[in-house]
Amino acid sequence: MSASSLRAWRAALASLARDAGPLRVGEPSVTRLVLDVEVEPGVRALVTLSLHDGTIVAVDERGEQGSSAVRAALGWLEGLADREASIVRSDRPAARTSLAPPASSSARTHDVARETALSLVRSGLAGARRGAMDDALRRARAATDLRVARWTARFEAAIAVEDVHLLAQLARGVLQPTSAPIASRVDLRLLEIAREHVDGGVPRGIVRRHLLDLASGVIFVEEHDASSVPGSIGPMPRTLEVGLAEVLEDPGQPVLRALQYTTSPVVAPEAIARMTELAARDRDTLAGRVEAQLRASPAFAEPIVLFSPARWEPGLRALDADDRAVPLSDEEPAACLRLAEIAADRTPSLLVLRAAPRRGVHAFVPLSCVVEDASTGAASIVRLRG
Amino acid sequence: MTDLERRLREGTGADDAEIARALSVPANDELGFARALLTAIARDPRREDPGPWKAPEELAARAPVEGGFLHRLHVASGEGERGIDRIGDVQTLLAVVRGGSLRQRRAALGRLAVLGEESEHAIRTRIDDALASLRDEDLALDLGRARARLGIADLAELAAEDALATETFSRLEAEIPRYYEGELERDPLCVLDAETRALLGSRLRSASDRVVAHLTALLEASSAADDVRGARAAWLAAIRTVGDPRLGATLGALLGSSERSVSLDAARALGRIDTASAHASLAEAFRRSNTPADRAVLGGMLGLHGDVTVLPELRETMRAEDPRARLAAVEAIGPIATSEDFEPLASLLGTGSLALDRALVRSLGWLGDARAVRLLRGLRTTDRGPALAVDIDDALRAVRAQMELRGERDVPEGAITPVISRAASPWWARTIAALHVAIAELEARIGMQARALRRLDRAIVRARDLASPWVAKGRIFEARGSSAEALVVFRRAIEIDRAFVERTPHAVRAVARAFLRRAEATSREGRRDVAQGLLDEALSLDLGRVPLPLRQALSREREKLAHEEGT
Repeated sequence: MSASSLRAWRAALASLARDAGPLRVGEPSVTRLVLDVEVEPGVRALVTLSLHDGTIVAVDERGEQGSSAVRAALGWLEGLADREASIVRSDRPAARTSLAPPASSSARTHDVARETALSLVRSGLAGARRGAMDDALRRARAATDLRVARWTARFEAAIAVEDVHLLAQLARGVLQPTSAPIASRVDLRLLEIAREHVDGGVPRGIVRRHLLDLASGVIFVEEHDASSVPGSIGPMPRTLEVGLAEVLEDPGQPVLRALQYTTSPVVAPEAIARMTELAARDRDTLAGRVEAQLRASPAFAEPIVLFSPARWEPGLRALDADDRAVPLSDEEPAACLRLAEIAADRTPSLLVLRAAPRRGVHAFVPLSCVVEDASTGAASIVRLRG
Repeated sequence: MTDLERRLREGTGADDAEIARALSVPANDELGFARALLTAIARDPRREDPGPWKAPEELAARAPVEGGFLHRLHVASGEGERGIDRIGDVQTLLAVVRGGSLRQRRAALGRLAVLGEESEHAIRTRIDDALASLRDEDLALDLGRARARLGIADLAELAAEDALATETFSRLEAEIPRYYEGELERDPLCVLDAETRALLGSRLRSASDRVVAHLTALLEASSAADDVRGARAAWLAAIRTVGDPRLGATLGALLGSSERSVSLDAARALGRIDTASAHASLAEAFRRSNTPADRAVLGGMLGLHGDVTVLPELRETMRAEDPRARLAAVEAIGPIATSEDFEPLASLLGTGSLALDRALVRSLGWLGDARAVRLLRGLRTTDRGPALAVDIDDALRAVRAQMELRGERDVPEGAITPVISRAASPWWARTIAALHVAIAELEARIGMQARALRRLDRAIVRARDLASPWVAKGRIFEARGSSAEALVVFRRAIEIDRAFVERTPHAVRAVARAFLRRAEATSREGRRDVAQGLLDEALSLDLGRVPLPLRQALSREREKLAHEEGT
């Protein structure tokens, strides 16, 4: 830990404390500190330090207490402290921390995606299928940025099925100049409305959680590499009270990392009522929302939308009031079949859908649905997608 | 397809300058050209009205219907389909419980319980005795519940377990929110002992959605903490046979786990969930998997769903050098094996570990081929430990049950000794075998039937891919009035060369007659379901070369039985 870094932190903290003025309520005590540690360039980890009975417990987001991230955090803290603190490692469980940080917009990985897109224009789809883009795709596959990893997986899938429209959308997206700043958000009340495991360049894909902000109606995505080892990912559905979060403000689909939060498996009826209120009721509104998000972020957005059907027809046709059906994608037959199994007994009143246009036509993967419990009559969210 | 789309398909070419002009970008600006081209192609998606959603066709790859009674037996009756829910014969249902697929066994147990409740004490006792002798991990709870409904045995222990499970689920229902509120330090599902976990796992269907949702959270958690990892693995084992559809999405997600044991345990649990979505999840995982042993496990679970598309690969993997892959394939193939698999399975016995032998015995039990009886009895005399002996007894029960359902009951073992093969034998071997057949037919005609049968066995061993010795042997049994034995050997002939049997008038006539006689005999014994199965099997053959009166007799007998059964 460099001395200059420590001096800078001490000065900044002292200044913050002065500016905040004296506290007037109760007897405050800081019991938990979350540090975002960059162990080496590009490798970050959250370390939580909790004060219990005068002892500081330090663990990283994997629950490990001897990792390099924990050692770096402790070293920093020791250097920062005026007097020596008693720091020990204990067997207490890890504090709850969020999943991996939002995907960074690192220029290098985006360059790889851009080069891949240009390579497609040069060699064409036919050339790509003959292996002319193998080098570019190999570099893109090696990307550690989850958004680029997902982009690459979708790009390769589009090549495999020769979906020119999707290829053009994905390639255009990485060639156009974009900016996605990271911002802080406080006091969010989120409802996890869907969860899924999607293909990604990383070995075991990407786990995504879709979180509806009950106040604004924005649907955030939180994601992590499926082969990484986060603490717990909790039940689906659930409610999250987020004190502090970082958000990658992608114009098409904001990516969230909750830093301070509590969670509950209880989903209030009002939360489901809010979902219903936010849901599109006709196909044009639904399609309009998808198109707006895709236009804003053609490379990375995979819009999550809510649809409240007016009625159902056999053949899993969810219809709006004008009898126009929402097209279900054949991308995930298990999710559609699960929906069909549920719809055989109960009528889903709302669908959480991921837009997955195919060959220039709207199509949707059902991720979860809202149904009424036969015995209690209460509405609940049922997961469809694995 | 537009010109621009064609450009993206074919790549840059001689007409780039022209296209660049059309797109209003300089021809030498590669990035600008690419952006303009892609923007022009990537328009908003069209809003088309879709037709009804259809599941992929490969998910309908169920077991073939050319087989006997069990292959045609549905769990529930449909239009023109035989269903277990309409079978009224206790003996047939008991045979299905012993020899059917997992779904058939479960349905037959339910039906037996219904029939038992309506029957007199003696019949209930008979059913209870038969069920008490079964050892089936997949059906342990169903067996207990069915026996409880019969009211013969004292099943106070089962009732006590049910009460304990209900009480524990209620406690968990209250504890789970407290855990999330931070009032409990440890996850209430992680602190249960192994016995309680097993008890709850088998009864999860009676748990509330909240408990199941929390369990799915634990199953998906990948915490490095030992207690969470241990609890997750233990819960995955505990829910393996429960078949609760509420676990489907989570288990589907776990198929992609980076931990092999987790993904395979999830597959094993999904194999027992009787839904099309579970089948689809397994099919997708199978498509993605590239490890032979893992593919074999996934293939076996697809087999439990009646998916036969994996059969060729499982046969191939059974010949693998890798003992782990071979064992997995042998374990997997049972539910979908056909008589063609008898010889490969039999030939592997005694060539590997005890685990391999146990898997082979179980698969032979699933297969239900009559030839397995002698083989398994021989193996029973060897001292390979009690576990194998138990497996052999179970397999023998399953084989005999399937023989009974195929109308092959009481067939002497000598009638079915030689194994079959589809490997082509050399021309000279086939010629000699054909000569043997000709001589044997003469011998049979002059009353030397025993000698003729011995000669035919020699012909079968010499040219194992020849159907004619089997046909000749079947005709001898048929002439003796032994239609059950004739049925067994005719089935072998059909398996070896169905076309030969169907296009040879004397062969197909003899086969049709044997099926009809056996159906009449089983019908007289009150086994109408078995008789219907036999007639269905006969009528699935090309009977064009069978004399009209015999054809009509088969059809009328089938109609008569259907009329009597009201199907």
